[in-house]
Amino acid sequence: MSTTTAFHSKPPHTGEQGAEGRPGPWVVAATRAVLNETQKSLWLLWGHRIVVLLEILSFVAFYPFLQFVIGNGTIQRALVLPTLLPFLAVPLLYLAILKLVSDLLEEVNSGTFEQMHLSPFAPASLLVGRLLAIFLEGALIAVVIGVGMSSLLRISIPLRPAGLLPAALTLIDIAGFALLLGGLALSLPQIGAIAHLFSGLIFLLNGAFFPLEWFPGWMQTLARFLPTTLGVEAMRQVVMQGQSLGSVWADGTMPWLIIHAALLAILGWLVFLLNDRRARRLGTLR
Amino acid sequence: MFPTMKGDGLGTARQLDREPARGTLAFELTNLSKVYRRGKGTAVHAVDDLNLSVPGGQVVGLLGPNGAGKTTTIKMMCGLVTPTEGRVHLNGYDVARERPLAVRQVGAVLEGARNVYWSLSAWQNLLYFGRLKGLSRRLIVPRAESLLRSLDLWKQRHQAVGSYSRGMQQKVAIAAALITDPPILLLDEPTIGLDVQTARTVKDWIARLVHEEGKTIVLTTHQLALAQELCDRIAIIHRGRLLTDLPVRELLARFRQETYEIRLGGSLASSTFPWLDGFSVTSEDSESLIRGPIPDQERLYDLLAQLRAQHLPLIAVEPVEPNLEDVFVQILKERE
Repeated sequence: MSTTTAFHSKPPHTGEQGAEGRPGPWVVAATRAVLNETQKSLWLLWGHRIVVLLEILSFVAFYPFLQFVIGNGTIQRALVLPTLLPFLAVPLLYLAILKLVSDLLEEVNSGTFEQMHLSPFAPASLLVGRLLAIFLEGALIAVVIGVGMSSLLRISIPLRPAGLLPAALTLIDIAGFALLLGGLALSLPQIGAIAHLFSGLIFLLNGAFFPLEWFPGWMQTLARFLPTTLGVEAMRQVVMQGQSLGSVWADGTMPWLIIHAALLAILGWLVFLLNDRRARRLGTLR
Repeated sequence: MFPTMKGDGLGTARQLDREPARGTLAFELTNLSKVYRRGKGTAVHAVDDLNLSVPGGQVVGLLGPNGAGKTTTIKMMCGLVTPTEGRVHLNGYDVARERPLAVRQVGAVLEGARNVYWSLSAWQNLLYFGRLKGLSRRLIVPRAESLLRSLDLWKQRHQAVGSYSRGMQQKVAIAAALITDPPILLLDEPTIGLDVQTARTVKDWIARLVHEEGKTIVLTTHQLALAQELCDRIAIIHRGRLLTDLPVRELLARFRQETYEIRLGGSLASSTFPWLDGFSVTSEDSESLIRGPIPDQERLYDLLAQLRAQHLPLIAVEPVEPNLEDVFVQILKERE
């Protein structure tokens, strides 16, 4: 083994700095750091691509199987119409919750979570980069399910640009909830079981497994407090029923969705921040 | 700028700072304390009113027995543990109040941790950790190449770190800590679990980083020979308190007249004789070597009388230059 210690390369020109020799804007470096997390997460996903492929296949098989069960042995178009769009949020939420929590716990155990804290950027903002990678994986699964089921049953899911707003708010909703559970995981390493329970409850009530209309009124109201319910309801109205954003605003769905997404994002951020500070105070980042 | 920094002009953390280093100290710990609350009213003082100021370009050995507070101190220095009281300044930046600027001054390899992603390659790890601190790929790539070549990892750079030997993994961890060329490097037990050859490579590297690049290195280790060889200065802590903080030469000079080696025929076990407490006893080839502090002639004669009673032939008695281990054992014994 060599014991050479000299650096071999010539110093590169430090073109990172501006014309007056000042460093580039902080926001550029911060964006780079967030996207760096996304790239690292995608590298890690690629490293475990067999597992990812199995995840995709499981999700793709799960929806028709579920429809087959609740349709008494047949896949009924009438049941697919109200549940397909809500189900597309399932892989996004499921992966965001469980992968973020399990990855965090693994990193706490291995010590890389501490290294992440040696960044000048807030750990919570770096986690947003990881969520982006998770959303990409979830979106891929959602597209495969959506395209597969709509072509199989000849259901048309119109591509309406107006649907992007509720879709984006739904993602913020999911990100907030994932950060909330991720923050709690720093104080409660056994939270994995609770996360599974919560995700199951959400999928049961958000209209992904069964049409929301099947539930009694009070349960529908309760379901709207859960992440994704309002988002998929708004998307269904805009995309499937062709309503305008104005009418979704007028019936109260959109304002409630905005409030829900904003509150959950703020709550998730705060819970993560407080638990991260607590971990540093107690010396339990690792 | 950092006064003793020679620097190689590579894309560094300092170049991204809005302000240069303040003052002449690489780091300064002021009244640093950490109290962990455990259970009902139980408080563990992991670090207790620690004060330490170190100018740039030195290797500082932070020594102490297990549980002395070394790792807690290192983690407070890089902001991973919040102090109960006191302040940490890195290159003049307050870790608590100016965290983004302070953490850019430091790279760390922490004890017992993987420090890097084992599922990623060495190359991917260095790109990741460089950008994590805000550097662009353009600045990272040449430095990553230089580091990997220097550490003899260039050929294996695209292999997953998990497939590397322990020594190679540790080299990647050190390279990741150095990717932004920070002026201060914190190394918590950097040679633990390494074979002799790899430990020597790491040691040579540390020496090079200080002497050629002017970095400040804080090193914790139980390998006192390594600390003696590498460190300019030794800080010994015990039960969270700083017992001594001196340049190595001065520390050894203080104990120069007090260390003896006594060679006996036959084997002797130190655990059998309480009066040998504080001495190191090694037995080899039916000879025993007793080494330790003997403050005056009276104590020497007392000890020789005790040994004579064991009916072991005396081969030699001589004063010797103390090493760091002698000093370390003696300081801790005095504290007990």
